[in-house]
Amino acid sequence: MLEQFLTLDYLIAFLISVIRMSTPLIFCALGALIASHAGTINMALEGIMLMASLIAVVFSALTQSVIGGIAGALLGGLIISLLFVYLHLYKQSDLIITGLALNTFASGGTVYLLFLLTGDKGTSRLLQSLSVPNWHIPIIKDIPILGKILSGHNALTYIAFIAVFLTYILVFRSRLGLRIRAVGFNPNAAASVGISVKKIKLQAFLLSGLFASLGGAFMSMGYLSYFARDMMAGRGYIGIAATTLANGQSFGTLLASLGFGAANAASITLATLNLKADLVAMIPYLATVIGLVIVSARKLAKARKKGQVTD
Amino acid sequence: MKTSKFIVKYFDLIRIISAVIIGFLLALVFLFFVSDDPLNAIKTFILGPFASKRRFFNVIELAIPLLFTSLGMCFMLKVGEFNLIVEGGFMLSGAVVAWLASTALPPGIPPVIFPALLIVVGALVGMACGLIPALLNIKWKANVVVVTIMLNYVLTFASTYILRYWMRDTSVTYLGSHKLAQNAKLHTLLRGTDLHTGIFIAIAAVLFTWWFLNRTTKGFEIRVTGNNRSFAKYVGINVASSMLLAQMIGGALAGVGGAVEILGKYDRFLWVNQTGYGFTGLMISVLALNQPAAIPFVALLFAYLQIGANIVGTTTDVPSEFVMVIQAIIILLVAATLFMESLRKRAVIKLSKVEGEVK
Repeated sequence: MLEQFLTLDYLIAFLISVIRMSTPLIFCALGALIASHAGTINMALEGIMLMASLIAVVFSALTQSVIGGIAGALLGGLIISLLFVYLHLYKQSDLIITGLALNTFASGGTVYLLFLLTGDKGTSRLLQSLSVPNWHIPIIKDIPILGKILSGHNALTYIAFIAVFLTYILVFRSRLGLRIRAVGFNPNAAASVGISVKKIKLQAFLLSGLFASLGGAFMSMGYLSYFARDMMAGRGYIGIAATTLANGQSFGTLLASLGFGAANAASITLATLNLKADLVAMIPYLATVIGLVIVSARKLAKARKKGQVTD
Repeated sequence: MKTSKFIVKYFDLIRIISAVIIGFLLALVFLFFVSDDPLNAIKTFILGPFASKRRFFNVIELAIPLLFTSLGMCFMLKVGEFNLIVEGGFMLSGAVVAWLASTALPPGIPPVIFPALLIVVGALVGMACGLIPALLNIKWKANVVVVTIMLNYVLTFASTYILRYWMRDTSVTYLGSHKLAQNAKLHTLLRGTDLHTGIFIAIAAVLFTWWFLNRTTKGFEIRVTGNNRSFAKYVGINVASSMLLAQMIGGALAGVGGAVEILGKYDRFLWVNQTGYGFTGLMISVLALNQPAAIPFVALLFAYLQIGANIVGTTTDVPSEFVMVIQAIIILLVAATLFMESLRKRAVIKLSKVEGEVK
């Protein structure tokens, strides 16, 4: 049984699957990264992605264009983000309760909207929606093995990798990024030099939501070619975990997302081998918990060494 | 003057009732848009749960698991931790208890002892579920929210694993366990309904939660820890142990809930997805402002909304999920600290003006 794993074809297929499974996680983790640098946690990412993936399908079906679909995703994510920002920043809502309630809101709301638009409660297969095309990269695609692995992915997958660089520049090399980090590091100090903490947090949350929305678009316009209810299956939370693991570093976040993508891909590959599917399905979630604990423990040990934590 | 006094005194209650009314009105709007026969759908939603004895008791039956999960969440929130393991603990406890009652234990154990034993097992399973994230958090500061959401998936798959490999009845076409032993089940109280003796356990759980949190030293320490951890430390409360205790009891309540639900309402174990009772429990506890005495009323309200939506879902083809949106909106309004703040401010200003004139 194990020999099949060790063949080259299997390995290639596995790596392709890793990249594919990582794409939504990368987008979401980058969203979580921006929020974390602003000193908050965007608990609504799951709901943002879910709403984004539904509106993406609806808009791509209406406009019959892929760009229209992506725009729809951004709009869908923005709706939830704006609600979140308004309630949290302007009505002093609890971050976690509001985030979780918005996820429930999106979970029920997408099913309701889906029914309103298509008459179906499960998937959007009745809508003639489009998928984001796959890109074959000119020179790389001709390299023997590497070409197979790296070329021919969904365009959003490449955009996800580019987005890692973009967030790096945004957070660590731009004016806005500096302000976001200042607000996250010490809001009072930031306010004392004339930065509007509320405004910066608002921008950080909206950016966070926009990045995650692209992950939502990938789910319904790439990973699958339609929307299915509750299709995020906790990816929004895994994204938050990935950023936490990487301690807010953008390339570390990419690595952590790839790691979770690998766990996800492994669970799918192993499931085809007639292994006990329920145990295999636990892998990504268990990996997240173990990873989070290890990183938290290391962080704590470091802080103790520096004497910042006394108990 | 009188109204201003009233507003200031009962402001929390006014806010909550307003949020519920807004949510309810929105529900009507939602139904109106999606239904071919809106008036009938609205009528079904509001009056459906009272239309027959069976449906009326459906509301109370649904309130039983919701009570357990919301009381569990109440403990978590009282100590200031967003430990969401209640969801997974409820399900895993149900699976373990169902396995014991259907396959592992001999069916000949006498009636009252059998369910009592199983409920204790359920409590222990739930307690263990609550303990793990609490320990990870206290020892290594792992983020409780993310860890418990992930663990909930793990526990869900553990439950389906138990179902598939330990107790599946292959003679039925659907995915279900063997039949639970007759002696293990909780009795039905009323003919023609599924109302079972679990309701007494639920009421006992409410009384226990109220008593424990408001009348015992440990409960007081839990509340102080939740309110202000530094202060709790300063006055000599063992913060770690009260955090641990609260989350273990919270998990145990969820575990009892899972056991009671399975033994009271099911012939076989059938859950293959998260039940959602844990998250609903969180919403109930938030809406009840974490007051154990208020939880039964809110649990009944949520059960009523859910049953109404279910009836709409089965009789009129409108998806019952719209009620999730309503519940979420109610919680969003209540969680928004500044919701209706201007009303309170105006009342306070008016009162102080009047007081100034008297002097």
